[in-house]
Amino acid sequence: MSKESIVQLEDIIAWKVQQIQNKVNEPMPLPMQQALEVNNDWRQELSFVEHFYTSQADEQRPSAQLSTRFYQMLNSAQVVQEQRVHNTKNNAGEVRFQPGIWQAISSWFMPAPVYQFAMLAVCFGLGWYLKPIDNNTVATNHESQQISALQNEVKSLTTMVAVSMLQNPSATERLNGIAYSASLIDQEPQIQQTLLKVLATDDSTSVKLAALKSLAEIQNIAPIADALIDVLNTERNPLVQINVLQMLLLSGNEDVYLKTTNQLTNTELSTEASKILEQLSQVNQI
Amino acid sequence: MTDETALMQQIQQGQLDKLAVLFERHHVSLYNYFLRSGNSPALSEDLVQETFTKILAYRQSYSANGTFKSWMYGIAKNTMADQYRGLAATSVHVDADDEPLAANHSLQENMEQKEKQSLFEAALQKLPVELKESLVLSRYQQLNYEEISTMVGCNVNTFKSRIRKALSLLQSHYQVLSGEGE
Repeated sequence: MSKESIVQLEDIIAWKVQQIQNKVNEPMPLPMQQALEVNNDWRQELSFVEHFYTSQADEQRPSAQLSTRFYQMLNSAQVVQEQRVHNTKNNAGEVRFQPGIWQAISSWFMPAPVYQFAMLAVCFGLGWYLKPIDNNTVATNHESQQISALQNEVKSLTTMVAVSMLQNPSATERLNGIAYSASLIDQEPQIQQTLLKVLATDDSTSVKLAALKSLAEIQNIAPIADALIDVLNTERNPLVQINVLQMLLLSGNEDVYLKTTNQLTNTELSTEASKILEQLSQVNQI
Repeated sequence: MTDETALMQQIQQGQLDKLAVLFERHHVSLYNYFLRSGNSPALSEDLVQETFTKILAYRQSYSANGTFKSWMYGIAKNTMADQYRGLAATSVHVDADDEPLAANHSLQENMEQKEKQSLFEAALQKLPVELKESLVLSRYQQLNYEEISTMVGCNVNTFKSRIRKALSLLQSHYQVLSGEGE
């Protein structure tokens, strides 16, 4: 039996490919070497294989649109997932564990939205009913002042409830808190600060992304731009970094835009976020 | 457990944002895989997007037995096959004969490497789809014989013969294109 019938050229090629891909470190097995020595055609074929596998191979880059489309798809998937988790937890309410004393006390300050609304309505009604009755025209001004004061109280009570919900140990409750505080985001600096704190320190990516979405509703984000940029230095999740960058770059504020593009040299940014920042700044320049 | 297997497990557990790490790591090579398989740049981008959408949709079917890379290229290969079935009436392959070869620019010495690469790419486009696919996965996507043979549904020995046949045919085309065969 000849050596060629024992060692096949395809085996030698397979070994060569593995060697080129750094998957074998040993020298070529002796039977293969001997088979090559006596077969010139095989040597030529193997030389071509080596040439093909080691030649320079330039890679083309796809357009920035591909990344944009991917991240849009991922964002949509996350929103759907959050809604599912939220619905599942709401449906499984009866399985919840017994709350401790502290949680029971805390829950007095974090009632369900229906009870919160009822409580606010009672406060408002009492205020209206107990107002002093004057029979002159000055009363109109006095009443409007009282209404305004009452409205402020209601607002501050809502803020207190929202802040309490945002500090709840349960991620689902914090998500509820973010949704609950949405109507006040543009008026209450305390809610903005709490949401910024959530964004900087929360353990849940979903909560962080929801907080960002809520903060994006602020008409002028310049006052909180520095806090958002600080998040870029501490946040390790590329998706959160990318969302912060998108929010800053698309704010329409020139100063915020410049501060954000300065982050191109920020070494704390993930590779993915750096790429997106580069692409978004190029798009905005156009 | 590899880093990518751990990432896939986190995705399976609901941390969908981890997919961004895998996307950033692989989307360029995946895009080039589709390009080398004969698709236009626009279609290649669509196929990359479709592949990652399927990765997300079928994430629970990933098992740690194989590498993420080979699983991903398995999905990519099937996505491309689905695309071809959908577009059966109109060929989506770039016909190598219609493409102006970079060999026209090969007289400049500093372009020698690029010229060789262009010739390889042009010769590759002349191979039958099955052989081209196997060679692209082995040469450019750096998958090993075991991974590709599992993906294409044959045993390793059959795959070795297929690669040899593909390389032999590639060499013939390369020689004709470079003028060595005349």
